Amino acid sequence: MNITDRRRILGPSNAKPLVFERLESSEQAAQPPQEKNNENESMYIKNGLVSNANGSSYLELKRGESSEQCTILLSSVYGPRPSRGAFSSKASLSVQFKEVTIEKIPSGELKEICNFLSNIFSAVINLERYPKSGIDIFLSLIKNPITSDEANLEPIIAACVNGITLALADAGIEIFDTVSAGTYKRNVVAFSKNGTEVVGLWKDKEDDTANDILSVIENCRGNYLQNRKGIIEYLIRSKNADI
Amino acid sequence: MSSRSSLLTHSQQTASMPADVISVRKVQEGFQFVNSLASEGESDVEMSDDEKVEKSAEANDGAIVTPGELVTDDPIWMRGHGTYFLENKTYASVAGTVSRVNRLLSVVPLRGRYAPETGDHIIGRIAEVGNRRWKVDIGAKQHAVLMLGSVNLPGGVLRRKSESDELQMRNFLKEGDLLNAEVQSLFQDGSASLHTRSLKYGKLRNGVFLQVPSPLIVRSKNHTHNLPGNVTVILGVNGFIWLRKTSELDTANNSSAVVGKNAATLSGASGEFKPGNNSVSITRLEEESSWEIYSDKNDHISDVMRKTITRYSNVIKALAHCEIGITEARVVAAYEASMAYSQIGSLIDKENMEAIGQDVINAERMRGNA
Amino acid sequence: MVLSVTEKSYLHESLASVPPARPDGRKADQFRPIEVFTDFLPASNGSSKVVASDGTECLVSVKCKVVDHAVEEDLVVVDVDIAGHRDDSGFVQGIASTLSKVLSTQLDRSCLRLTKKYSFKLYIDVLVLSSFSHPLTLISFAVYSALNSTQLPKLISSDDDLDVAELPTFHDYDFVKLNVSVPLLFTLAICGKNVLVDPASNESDVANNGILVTWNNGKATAPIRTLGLNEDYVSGVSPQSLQDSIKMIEQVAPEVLQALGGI
Repeated sequence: MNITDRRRILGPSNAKPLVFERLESSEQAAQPPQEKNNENESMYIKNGLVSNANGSSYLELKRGESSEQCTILLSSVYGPRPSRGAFSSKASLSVQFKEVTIEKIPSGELKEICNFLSNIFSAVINLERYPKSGIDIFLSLIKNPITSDEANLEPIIAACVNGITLALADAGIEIFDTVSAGTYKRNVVAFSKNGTEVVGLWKDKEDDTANDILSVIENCRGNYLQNRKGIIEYLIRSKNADI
Repeated sequence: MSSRSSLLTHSQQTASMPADVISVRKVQEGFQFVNSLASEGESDVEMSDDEKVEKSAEANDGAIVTPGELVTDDPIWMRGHGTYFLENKTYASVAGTVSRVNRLLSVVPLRGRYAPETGDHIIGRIAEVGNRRWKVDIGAKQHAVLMLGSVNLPGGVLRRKSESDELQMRNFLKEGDLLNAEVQSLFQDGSASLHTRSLKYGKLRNGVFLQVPSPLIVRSKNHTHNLPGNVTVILGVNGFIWLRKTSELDTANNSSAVVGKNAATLSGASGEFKPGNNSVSITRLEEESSWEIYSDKNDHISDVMRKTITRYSNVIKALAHCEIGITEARVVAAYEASMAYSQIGSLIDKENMEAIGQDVINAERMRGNA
Repeated sequence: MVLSVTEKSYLHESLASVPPARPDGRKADQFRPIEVFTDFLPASNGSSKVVASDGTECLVSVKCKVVDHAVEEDLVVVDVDIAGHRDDSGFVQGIASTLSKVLSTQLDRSCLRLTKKYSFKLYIDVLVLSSFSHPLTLISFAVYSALNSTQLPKLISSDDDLDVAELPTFHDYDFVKLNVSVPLLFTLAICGKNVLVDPASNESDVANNGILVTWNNGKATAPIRTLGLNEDYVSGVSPQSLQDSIKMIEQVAPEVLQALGGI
């Protein structure tokens, strides 16, 4: 059929028709994280849920099979945004933690956790890159694995470290390394540089591992490598889904 | 010796426990304010108002007075700092020594913040970068001001300060930076304006900072001293002290280097003054005024040098602890006395600090200097 | 106090060199000398004041109250006030929470037991008058001295009061010394490969990380955790340094206890 249409103005000869993606494909893009849930049995990740924040991450961590022992944490990162007041040559970092549902953790311990986390991320974020600005991290604990009265903070702290790293990556803030935390018994250790450096150590309750810190760190490292793998896999997959 | 310790009469069961790791001085029954007031013999000043009035005569030059004490009832005196005037009588408003200069009567406080005077060689820390000026913390009541026009900028002194200089002030000096400078003038409110327009002033590198009460620094012609061991000390009049590795500039500038044992024979405010010795010709200044002078990089400093600097820093703290005026000769004498302690870390113990102070004082007495 | 760039790099290089050259010449395991005053607050059961050589000063008062231990769970209440910091700042609340957790879980409750029904409840008030470096070590020394100088009223009624509705009665003026093992908290700075006890403020400013180690009943115990001492130099540390810190505390803690407790 080589008849040219003379009644209409034609487009350039190299024009191509518009093709709209079918709706099904967007559903497919949403699927990989769900598959992940089964694949990496304990972690479900979804970034960018909080549209208002510069970066955010939603994290579900399951211990074992029961849905009772589940930690759900939403981390959102605001910034770097201009900070008021005196000049500072690097960004100031603030971490705030809130339990969205039932408040079970004493406020003093929440402050300790915030101090601990901001210490870790001061070492991790390239703060020099953002002078005169502030980076604010808000953590919302949606589901608490604490069932008994005694607070078991360790899985929460580990989730915070992983959640903040994801949210920072989502916000495009420069970080030196994909920091992640691993737990072992009642200890949390946050690692960087492939597990050779410790950026945070939290050991609050006495257990039988007191005197051998190196073996504690070694045991946490295994958990760290697993968590970090999950984070990196998610980031790569979500990147591919975007394209 | 220490005026502070007399306030706390802690005697009863004082004992100290020298240990390798930590030295703990235990005082069983804290301060005994109540007891010491009750025991009549011990109280230091016992003077009723009547006695003061009776005394009525003038406090002599150098006499120690306390706030509210009558200094003179003779109205011919001009009233200076540290005094107030009431019903034709002059009273002291601070605790300190009476000073008389011609007709001017003032009381110099024993303690208190540094009061800047024109010409003082001081050390300051940048507190704020402002519009064409830096605010400098010099330990005085107010921050001093260092104008952009009062510093040497890279590219020579005689260069006009341009707008680009204004925009990159933080590249020259930023918050936290230490500099030594001279008080150029005083404002109405007593705050100081500084300048660094000489090669001996400017940003400080290659060393450590320490602070002593400003009245302990004796004003002299020269405040930069090259000490034995290749260490240079700048004794800022405001009590800020900088110890650094001696640079080539220091050796070129300073003629009053004292070496070895002979140092101790020098008296307090020493150093022969040669006019023009410290000033540098304009052409030379231009050469030196490169970006180098605002560098944030230290030269290589050997471990031995660091140890020497630490020892100097500790002996200066010991002198300050003993309330001994700090001069070059005394720093050197104290340094030599400290050689009896091989561990530099042992110099932070009170007893050792006092022993060093005592050594310095005794050595001066022996020569009849003190 | 803000340090200049050159001061910081000088300090960091000195502290990271082997062996570390500390700015006041101390050895890595040497504390700053302290002065301890005890028993000077007439209205408290125990009190202490600790003054460090850099002018850091900390006051602790211990007061007691008789409570029914079946009703009151917490027998130790700690309140911390640090001059120059807001009470609701993360810094102060973090320190207060750490201290009260350590003291309420690690102090032996049986030492506070008065009768079968009643116990002493301790109110420990900490006031830091001036502090230049992280004050936790000093506070812990002060709490230690205060608790070890605490005198509690002497019970003269029977200690078996489960069945009788009798309130404890006390001797008019005799006291019994509180005998309890008190945990000590140590802060250490990690600089390069070196571990330093009791970091001064300028050392804290250039440390790569800080670590808190608790010492109780002759061994290092929880909480052990990393502490941020500054924002400029903070970085990851090798696991070896963490172990070195605990080893160092194991070495020095007995000597510190001896110095604090002796005399």
